[in-house]
Amino acid sequence: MMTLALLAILWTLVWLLHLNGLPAYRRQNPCHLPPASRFQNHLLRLLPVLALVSACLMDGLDGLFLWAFTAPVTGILLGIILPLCVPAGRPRASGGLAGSLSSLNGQSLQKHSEAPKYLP
Amino acid sequence: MSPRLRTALRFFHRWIGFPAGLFLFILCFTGSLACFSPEIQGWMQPRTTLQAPLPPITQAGLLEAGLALKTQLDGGTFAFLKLPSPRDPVFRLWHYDGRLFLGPALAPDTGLPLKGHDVTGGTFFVTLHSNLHLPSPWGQIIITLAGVGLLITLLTGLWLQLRRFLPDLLLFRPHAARQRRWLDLHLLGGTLYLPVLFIIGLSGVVLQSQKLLHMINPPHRSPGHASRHQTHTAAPPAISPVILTSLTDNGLRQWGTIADGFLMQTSRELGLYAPDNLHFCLQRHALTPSHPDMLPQPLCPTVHSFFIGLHNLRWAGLITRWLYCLSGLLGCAIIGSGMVLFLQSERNGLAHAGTISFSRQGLQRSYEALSTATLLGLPLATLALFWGTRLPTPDALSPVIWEERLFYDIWGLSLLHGFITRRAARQQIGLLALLGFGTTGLDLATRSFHTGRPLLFMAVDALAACIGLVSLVCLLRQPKVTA
Repeated sequence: MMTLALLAILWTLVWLLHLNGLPAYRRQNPCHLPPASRFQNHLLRLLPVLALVSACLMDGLDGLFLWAFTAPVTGILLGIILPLCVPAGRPRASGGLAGSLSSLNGQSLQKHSEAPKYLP
Repeated sequence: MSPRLRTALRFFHRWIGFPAGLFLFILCFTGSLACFSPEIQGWMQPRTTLQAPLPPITQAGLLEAGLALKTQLDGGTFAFLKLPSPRDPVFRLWHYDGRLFLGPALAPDTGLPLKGHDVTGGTFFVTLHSNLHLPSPWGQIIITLAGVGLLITLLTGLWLQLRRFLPDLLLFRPHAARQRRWLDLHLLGGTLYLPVLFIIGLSGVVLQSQKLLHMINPPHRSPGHASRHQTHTAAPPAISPVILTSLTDNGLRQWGTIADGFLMQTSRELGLYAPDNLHFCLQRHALTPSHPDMLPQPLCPTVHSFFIGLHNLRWAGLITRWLYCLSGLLGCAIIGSGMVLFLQSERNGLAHAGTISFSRQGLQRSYEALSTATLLGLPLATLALFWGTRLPTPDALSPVIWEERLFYDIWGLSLLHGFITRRAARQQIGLLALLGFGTTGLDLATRSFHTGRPLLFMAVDALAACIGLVSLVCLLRQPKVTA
């Protein structure tokens, strides 16, 4: 249980750092960390490795599988919960924070002026 | 990516994903239940969960159970004796009837049969997962093809999403249009679970392919080893108190535990097999009276044993098994959302087409009926099976046949219902909510309140209630459909 709690915390931090590194119009993280820096990028790479090593040391092979299963579970939970944390009643951007730079059609991130053009 | 490539990838993703998804949903759902097969067996046979405190296994109980095993073997039934474990605290004197493991439960302290009838049990889902209850080799062929379909669908999906993989990794827009929400959910689960699904799918395909290969070209067995069918024709082995005691003592000495191990006939002797949860890789080597010491074995003796360990996770702890079960259920959600997207896309295609032929309409209805039977009919039939194990059986039928018939009849009716009316999904969701919420009441009404394993009953009831809750939310949010 200790391993699970530790992994859940570390993976949550990893996902929050990942979201923090995205451009503002793509961010869905209402609890903002300081602006993404080189330190955060290093941390983003270091934390999964740290989580894996500590899980394996604590629980052996079980820890390895716990590490693999906890990542998507925490990611999906965060992915679903964070957009719901945006206060209701305010105009919602497409996948981003209320009042962010994105278009208000709620449909496609591709339409935003800052979005890279993926489709020809 | 060129538009032509994108169109081709999308075509393969949809038209391989949908038919494969029909079977993959069944496999993910039954696989999730198979993670807790002994616990489901306990829920279905509440008398075998015993009263608190749980009685320990005794020498007298082991000897009595050994005698019962000898009686079965002498009578020509190829039975084996599963030893009590914390997950299933009774002896199980089981035999395999081709689809299910059946037989009495024996008390761990006395070795005498416990009251209660045979049930389909947790092994019903294990065998449904491994061969879809189809005759060999059809089940294996279908599962292998579905597994290959899963791998192709995962790879085409990954390719389609490759450039947006990282930026859109956690993207979910709950307030967007309905189709966008489903797509976000599909991508959120699909991308995050991609490695897990790939490993589960790949290991499943390897295991089923090996089964198929063994059917075509049976493996050579060493002289000391005999398959179930070979031993069936051999004379019953000697089973005496001395043999039983020495086997269990040797097992305890070498493995530290014999809980969840089993006693089974090996060629001409009785063998004690190690518990499956002892090693990562499945090692089916037995201690016998003539070979009381296990020779040192490599950690993973075969590729098959490695993939069994990777796919079944029998060795794993409780939390890992729960997360594995959850992975299977999330796999169901990913496949289900994909099927919903496929249906919506087909419906949009029909809406934009000028004239719709009768055959096209029929096809659309078939897709909807098949999806309804898979996504809703299977959970409905499963809950009905759970109910069936606790409700009185019609006199003319044996309990196991009644439960199996109930499961398949409900599943078949769900398909038929889907063909008859477009309101089928809505009505079946309502029924699912009713059965899900009612399971707790049924459980409390049909077993003694004090039990040795209250958490087991609470967990199953809570899962059923979760199905009920999800169904209720879907029912309230789903737009009404006219027939």
